Amino acid sequence: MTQLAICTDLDRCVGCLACSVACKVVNGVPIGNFWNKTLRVGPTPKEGGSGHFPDIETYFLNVQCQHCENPECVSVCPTEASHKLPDGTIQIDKSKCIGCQFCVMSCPYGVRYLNEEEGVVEKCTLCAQRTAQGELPQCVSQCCGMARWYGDAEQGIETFQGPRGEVLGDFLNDFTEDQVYQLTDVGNGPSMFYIMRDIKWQGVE
Amino acid sequence: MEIQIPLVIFTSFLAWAAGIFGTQCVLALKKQGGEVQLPALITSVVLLAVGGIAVVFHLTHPFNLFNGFGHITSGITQELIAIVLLAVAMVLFFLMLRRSGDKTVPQWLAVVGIVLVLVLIFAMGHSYMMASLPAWDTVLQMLSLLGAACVMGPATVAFIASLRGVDIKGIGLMTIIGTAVNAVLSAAYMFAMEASSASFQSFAYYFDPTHPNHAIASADNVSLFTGDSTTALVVAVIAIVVTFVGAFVGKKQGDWKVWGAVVAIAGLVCAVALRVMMYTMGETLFMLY
Repeated sequence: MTQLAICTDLDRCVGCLACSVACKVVNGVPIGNFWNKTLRVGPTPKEGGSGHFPDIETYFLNVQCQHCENPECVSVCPTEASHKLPDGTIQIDKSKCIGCQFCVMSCPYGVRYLNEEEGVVEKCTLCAQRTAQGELPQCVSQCCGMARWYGDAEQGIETFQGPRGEVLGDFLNDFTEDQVYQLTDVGNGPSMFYIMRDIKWQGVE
Repeated sequence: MEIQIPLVIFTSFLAWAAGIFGTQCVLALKKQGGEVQLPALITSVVLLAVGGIAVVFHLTHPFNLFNGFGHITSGITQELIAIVLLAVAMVLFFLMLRRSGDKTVPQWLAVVGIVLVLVLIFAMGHSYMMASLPAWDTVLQMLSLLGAACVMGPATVAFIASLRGVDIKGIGLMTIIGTAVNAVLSAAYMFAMEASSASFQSFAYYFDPTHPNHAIASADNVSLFTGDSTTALVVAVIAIVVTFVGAFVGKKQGDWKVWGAVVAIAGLVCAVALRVMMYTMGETLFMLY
């Protein structure tokens, strides 16, 4: 089994939006839509602090298709246009998509949208056109903070590759298992990972 | 979420069609209302067709309908199967009516009809039950469609019967029971929708640098008592009251020509308002995108 995924070290992410912009450029994402969105979460009062500056914390969160283990978007698709590949990624066969948007509704993270011009639904493909040639997803290769890493989750996130050829386990500062987060799982099993060491993760994991 | 008008029409009209056909089957079981079976069946088929045509316009191109439906885990495929099965039952119902000398159909067909009506309603409701949308992911959403069928079906049959000058024993009581069932199930679903906002995932304060002029989405803003939902809520409550008034006055006066139509239309308005609320309350678990 393979489950291709991206792991983001949120302690290294500076919120420069390079990943979001690079994704739009390389994938031709229409204006107003995103395959990969960078959000600023915070400033949030630190626990036990005064509740005011400087006792606050902020992090940046990259939200994209989570290429889930049990994707609801695939279950609800009437034509099997949305499908899960053996490499674990969720892809959309545009020739089969009828634009019913049930997959858009079923995504807990809201990462899908209807491309009005083409009349089909789109979302992050994990840059399948690039990874098929041995390259990294554009958001990973473009990350100037060395925060984003790509690989097979089944092999462990320590094996994930960075843009300069390093391996996550060798390059990043040490982290423990409880410092690795995922977006809320409502039965879909998200595959993306987020590392954050000292800042409190907001929302339910 | 943007209101998907074709889907609103689809679910409301199919619930209406199912309600009428279900009422016909109940009457057939009781060996009553033979005179209204054919016009009621035609009405039901027309409503089924209207709903079926409406849903095509939800697709980005109507011809996409022929794009290879068949993924069985999909709610849309399940709905399609349920509609085809109900249509087959309706054709059989029609043939049996034509063959019958006393305008009745076999009891087994009436039972099959009721089962298929329930299958269609639950298939329709189930296709909208998604963990991603807390306001939709409840059995009460599914049951609210059953309520719509219960109020619109008997009222429409009572209306058709009065138009043809036929007196169907017990149709008034059926309408009142259907009205009560719809009121309870609709109210329960509205409470469930309001309670669903507690399920949204909050990221405390967040800012979307790509939409700097947009307000931050907040679970506190997702309520039946705010924004577009409020109008639909008021309309639904008024419609429920009207169905009650219509059903009781209709039974008292026995004049279903007016009150049957009033109850059926108010039931439709209630069903449409509930579906509109589904979309205005239809925020995803994460309101980030």
